[in-house]
Amino acid sequence: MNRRGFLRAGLAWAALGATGVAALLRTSGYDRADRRVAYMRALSAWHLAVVDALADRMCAADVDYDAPGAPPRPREVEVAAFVDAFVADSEPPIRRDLLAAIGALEHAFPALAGQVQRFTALSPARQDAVLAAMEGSSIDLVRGAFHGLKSLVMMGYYRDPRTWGVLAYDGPLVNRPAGGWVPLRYKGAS
Amino acid sequence: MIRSGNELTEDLVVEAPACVVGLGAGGSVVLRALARAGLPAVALEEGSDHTPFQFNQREEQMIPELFQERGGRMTDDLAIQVLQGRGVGGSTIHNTNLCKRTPTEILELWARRYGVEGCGPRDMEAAFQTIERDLSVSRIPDDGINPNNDALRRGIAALGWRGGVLSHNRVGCIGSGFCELGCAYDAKRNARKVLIPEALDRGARIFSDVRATRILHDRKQVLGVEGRTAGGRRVTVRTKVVVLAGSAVGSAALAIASELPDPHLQQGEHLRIHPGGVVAGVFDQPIDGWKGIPQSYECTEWLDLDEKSDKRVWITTAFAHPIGTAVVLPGFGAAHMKSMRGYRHLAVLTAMLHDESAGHVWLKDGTRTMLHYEMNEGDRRQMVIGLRACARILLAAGAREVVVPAVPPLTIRREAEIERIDANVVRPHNIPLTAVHPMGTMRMGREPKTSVVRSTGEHHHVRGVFVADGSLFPTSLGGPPQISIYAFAEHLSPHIVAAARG
Repeated sequence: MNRRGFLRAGLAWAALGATGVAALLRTSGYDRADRRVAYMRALSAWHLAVVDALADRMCAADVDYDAPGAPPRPREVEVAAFVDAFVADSEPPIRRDLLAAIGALEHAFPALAGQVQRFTALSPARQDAVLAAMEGSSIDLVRGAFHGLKSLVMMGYYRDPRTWGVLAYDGPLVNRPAGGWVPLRYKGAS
Repeated sequence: MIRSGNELTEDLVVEAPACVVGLGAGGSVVLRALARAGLPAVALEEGSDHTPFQFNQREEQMIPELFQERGGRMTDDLAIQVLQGRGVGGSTIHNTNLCKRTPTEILELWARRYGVEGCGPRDMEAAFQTIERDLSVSRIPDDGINPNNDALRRGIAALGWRGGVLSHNRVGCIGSGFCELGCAYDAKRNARKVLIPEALDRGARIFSDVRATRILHDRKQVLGVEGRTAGGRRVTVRTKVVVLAGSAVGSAALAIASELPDPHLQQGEHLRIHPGGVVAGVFDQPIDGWKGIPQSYECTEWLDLDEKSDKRVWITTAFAHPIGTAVVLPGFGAAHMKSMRGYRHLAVLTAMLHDESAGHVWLKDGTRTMLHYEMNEGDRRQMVIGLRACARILLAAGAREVVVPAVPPLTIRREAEIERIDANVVRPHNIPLTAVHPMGTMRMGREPKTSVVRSTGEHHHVRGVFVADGSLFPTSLGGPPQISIYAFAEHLSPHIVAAARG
């Protein structure tokens, strides 16, 4: 890493560290009555709110949700529950990084788009501006955080068969009715 | 016997003539060779053992299960995703079964520049033949070329470029297209299916779900291996031969963590990864690229393995299932979903570099495995050449438009626009890069100053430590490495057997 990159990374890590402090102080104002919180293994109420907001923007539909054949909303396919399970099942260092990225999205990255409010308090348009700023950021760690969060949320969304209609994807062959292809029997099968 | 470490209720100490760490292509070959020699070894594998019934073709379940760091392994600057396997069979469980021998030019280069002895083309011939026979390597039949690969074939033909059908190690393939998630039909002639059963029949013992944490040694002679289960149980193997076969990342990380003597700071260095970037072509007709054999055709027009060549790009197809595609397509929200609607009309190519950039493996906080890798200017130029070539092929094959998943996306509709793919497009983090072939971190050679192991695979400084995976390779291969890894393990096995006999 060159000196410039080192400085950038240092600043980014400092921002993430500050975010951690901010996250500790600023965890009020979230919906603790959300019944899903009781079932979360890794995400707290405020993490859950951030992931919900993130998924709503990342996986926003290109048509009205009430239109015929519209894709499901991220909350219908329980993106947040998937993210929670993924984070919970990850090894501790990865879990820490993922939770830090969620915290940074809420408390630090809005500044990239000139926003002073936390991510969940912004309008959808401003949330989009934050995500666009992250994706196009010149700071490696910010882009990396965008990529990591996007991967997690997209995995949570497109894992659900209800989203596959958008793609005309017919899903796992093992679940399709017998047709032109006849799966071989595994030789160990009875 | 395969026993999961998760079943252990107490710490375990075993003795064995040898211990193999990691059961991918290399480790499985060595385990079989030891067993055939009447030396039933113990193997430690950090991942689980799977049967084809478990491969349910679901990305969100199989990727975390079959890949290191749940599929999230990245270079330390988060610029390149590094996909590596874990589990009994290693990456052979989920690779796309491409079979190419180590190129003659590469073997000769290793002898000439790095003093690798006894591993020239003639020396390796028997090992290649053995492995190709065991794995039932054959040319992919023409009717196994799916529309995505056919787009590559048609584009190459239209341009008059060099290319051809690839070989694979499948028997009874039905073309489900889910190779990268494990084969539910057991059609892969992989390490788990071909090599490990024989080793087990001959008395080898495998402990899955046990991560090797330390090589025990007295700085001159290896004494054993220590491992841990997820539940914290300790497994200790007392032995005088340890074979590192946990990949160019895992083997180097274990060597570093174990503080094997390394006076010239070679362990973990010289990492090559074959970084790959993708280009998608949008066709009017459905491609349905997720169906059929994923990779069956290659373009070698931009690959010349001569040492002084400036053609270092290997091109093949790179289709992904929905999640993989969603992650690679740039952007988010409504625009992203609109792009996803074109999923069945996409044909995707990858330009994979025969890289010269050298990264390294290091440990964060002394335990967490990290990869540092930055593409040098020469490799960035090659990536531009490669992406342009992919775009050219797709347009020649009839793509309505070509999309480079940069930020923002670069859409190209005419040949004249291809020059827009430039150095700025391939700057770090601007395009998604993926690497699936780490190599070179414990490389072999004559000189301890520039290598870690001898041409026999044995460590220069610690007797009884051998390496038998892709970390042996002094340079990039310029193509899929599985046959090279299998064959080098086969070729070096007699040295390991001799050491185990003591």
